[in-house]
Amino acid sequence: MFVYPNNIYIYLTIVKLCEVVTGMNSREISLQNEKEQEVLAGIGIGERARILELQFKGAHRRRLLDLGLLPGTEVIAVMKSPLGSPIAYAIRGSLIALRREDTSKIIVKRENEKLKGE
Amino acid sequence: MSVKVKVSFIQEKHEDLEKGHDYLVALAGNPNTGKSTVFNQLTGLKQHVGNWPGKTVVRAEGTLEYQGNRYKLIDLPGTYSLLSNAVDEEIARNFILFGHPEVVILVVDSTCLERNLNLVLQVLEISDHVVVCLNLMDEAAKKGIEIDVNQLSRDLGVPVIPTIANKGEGLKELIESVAKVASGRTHTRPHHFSLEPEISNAVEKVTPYLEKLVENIPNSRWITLFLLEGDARIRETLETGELARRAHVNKKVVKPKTSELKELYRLIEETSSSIQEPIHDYVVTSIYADAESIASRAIQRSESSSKHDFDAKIDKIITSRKFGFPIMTLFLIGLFWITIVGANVPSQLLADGLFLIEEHLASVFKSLEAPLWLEGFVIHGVYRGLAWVVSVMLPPMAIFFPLFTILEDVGFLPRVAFNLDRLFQWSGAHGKQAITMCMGFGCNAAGVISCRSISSPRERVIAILTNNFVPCNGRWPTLILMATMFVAGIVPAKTSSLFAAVILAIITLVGIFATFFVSALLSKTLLKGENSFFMLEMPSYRRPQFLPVLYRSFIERTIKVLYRAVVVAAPAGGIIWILGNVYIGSNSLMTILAGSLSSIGRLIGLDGMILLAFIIALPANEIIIPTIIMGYTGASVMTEIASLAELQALFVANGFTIVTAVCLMLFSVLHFPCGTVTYTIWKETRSLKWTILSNLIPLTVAFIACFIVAQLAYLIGFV
Repeated sequence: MFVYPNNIYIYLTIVKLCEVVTGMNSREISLQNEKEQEVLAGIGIGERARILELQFKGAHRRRLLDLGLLPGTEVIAVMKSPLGSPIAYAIRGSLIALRREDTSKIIVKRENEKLKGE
Repeated sequence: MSVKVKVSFIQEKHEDLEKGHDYLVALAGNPNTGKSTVFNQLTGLKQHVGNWPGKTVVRAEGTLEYQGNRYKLIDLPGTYSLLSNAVDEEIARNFILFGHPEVVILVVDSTCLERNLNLVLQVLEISDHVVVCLNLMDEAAKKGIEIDVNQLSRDLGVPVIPTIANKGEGLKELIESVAKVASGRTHTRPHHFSLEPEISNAVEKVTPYLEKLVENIPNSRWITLFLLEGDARIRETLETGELARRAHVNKKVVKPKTSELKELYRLIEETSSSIQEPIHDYVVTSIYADAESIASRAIQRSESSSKHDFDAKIDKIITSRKFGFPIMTLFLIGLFWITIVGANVPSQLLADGLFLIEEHLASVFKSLEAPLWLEGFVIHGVYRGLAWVVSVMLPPMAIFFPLFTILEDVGFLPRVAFNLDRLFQWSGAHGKQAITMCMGFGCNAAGVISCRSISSPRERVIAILTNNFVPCNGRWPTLILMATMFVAGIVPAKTSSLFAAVILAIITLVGIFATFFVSALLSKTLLKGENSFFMLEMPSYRRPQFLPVLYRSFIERTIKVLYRAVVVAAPAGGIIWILGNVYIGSNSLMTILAGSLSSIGRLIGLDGMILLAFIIALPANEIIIPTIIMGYTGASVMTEIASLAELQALFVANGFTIVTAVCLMLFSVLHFPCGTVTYTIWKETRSLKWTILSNLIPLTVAFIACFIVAQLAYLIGFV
């Protein structure tokens, strides 16, 4: 249960505190990949992309494949968590939330057409 | 009705049939397909819920009677695939492979057919006797999805029955179809997906060898595929002879010869080295290629969809930066408010009723001329402890859990996890921990059990060890009492109830902060490791089924609480009575023990009696306040004092200050879990280390927090 303030800053403070405690800043880690190739993490809300490659091995790769995230699959970024990550994607008719640190390892090709109403 | 499964699935089946079941039916499907709804509708109340042997995965089984035959239904864990190694998938896979079910019902979410077909095609590969239950047809219609059932059935080669399980539609047809398949009246021709030539050649090469090694092995091609993939579990079952035993009906374990095994592995090594990409990729690609073409033939999608828009609109608000957190917070506050306010009257009624019974019991003891100590021990100790826990605990739980289950069924809780995941990611934990924490507000033992939904072992242990930092229903009364009595006393009466609520919220926040802090600490030290792969499916919003929810969560919780009260609180009541009534010299044991704890207590802003109450109330946090009162008044029994002013006077007379109240609240939120939770943690982790740590960590945190607060207060001369 959280106290009820009218803005988000108290939560962001908690985020910041956790960041200090863990010494981790996932934004820095996750964006490294985006400069070279287009990754799923870089796709904006309402945009479409086609999966090219999964830079995963072993169990993670299997999980993604089982969900239907195969090379060639079309994905739409549907909504973003208030804290920026995870992002929910429409994948083969279902809505699946993935973390930024994972989607930054999924290489995609952006499909330019923007969906109406989303 | 419980069936003890010790040796194998085969043996279990024989036991089932001995018990008068004619057919064994397995229920499989993706998570969130309404599988349990189908199960509940088919079996009604004839259910038994237990665990899979050696696993902490729930196993529900039930009986269905149709046209004079008895069908035993087993609800398999929801899975996306049978190809991975997660515990859930292994259980589902093993049961379909080796459990010899006569029929497998595959529950399919018709709103995302393609993804569901992935599992369907895998099951069709290993079982001929399949009936597809095309569920959630109403949702699909709302989303503008139309499915040609006949076409789908032709393509899959098995019966496909459209259903709306929560309205009971299509279930008759489903049962009929299951009966026909079970009795062999329906002949199925299941679709088999086409493997790439490279892979199928490899399978062809290895399969005969495996068949020679394990005679009559069912699904040898499929098992070969697993072996080629390097599946460690299948290898293990092969090496120990378990595979052979499951393949045969005889129960003797015949280990394959080492030389033969070596030969098989050499062959596998040789064949798989010629395949470049991971075999899993090939297999999944082949399956999805088939799934796509089957789905595209079956689906006629129309573009406009009001339901889709409706979901999107709600999601936009619930997950927005502006409203996301306030809405979640309001929902949770609402949940607590309804629970606490709603529980007041039934709690009082229960207490009155139970204490009336106590009087009658006492008169029975008197008429039997039983010795006074026996009457005291049984009635004022054991019975009163029991009555106290039941009356304090039962009503809030009976309100909280149905409400919680409804929020879960509606699809709200996955959104909570979605909104909060980033905080958990930072502390190295899993987003679903948000849901287990919410559950913990009701009862930490239930919260610990709900951690099963977290599939990664590392994140699951973090969630289990920190669940206790959210105050459960048993601790709310203590917190509310302290907040209203002492802390709110310092502000004007008009605003005092509001102020008390704020204090409660702050204390809860402290608990939540401790959760994140300890989670982060654990994932940096004892539970080091990378964040596991996180995925969270966000189901469509659904109208909950009120009656089944009420029935299930009410009856199940009620029975559990009563059971817990008898097993745990009753002996505690007895012990408390002994402590209060056995005298050494002129002091009761309680006074003596409290005295010896006094110096430690003072160090952390409490006193000896409070600390003693926390220790002897270990089995149930509900009786902490009654025990403290008993100690302070020197009474021989746990009592309640009706008036708040009187109670406050008693506490003040025993040295209570605001600092004591604050430290008591802090200690209550942060201290070691109650006996039931500790026992549950042991059962869930099967690890002495984690069970001990689950007590040591909170104890340390509570000591440090209270120490700092108390010493600071003493230092600045606050008291």
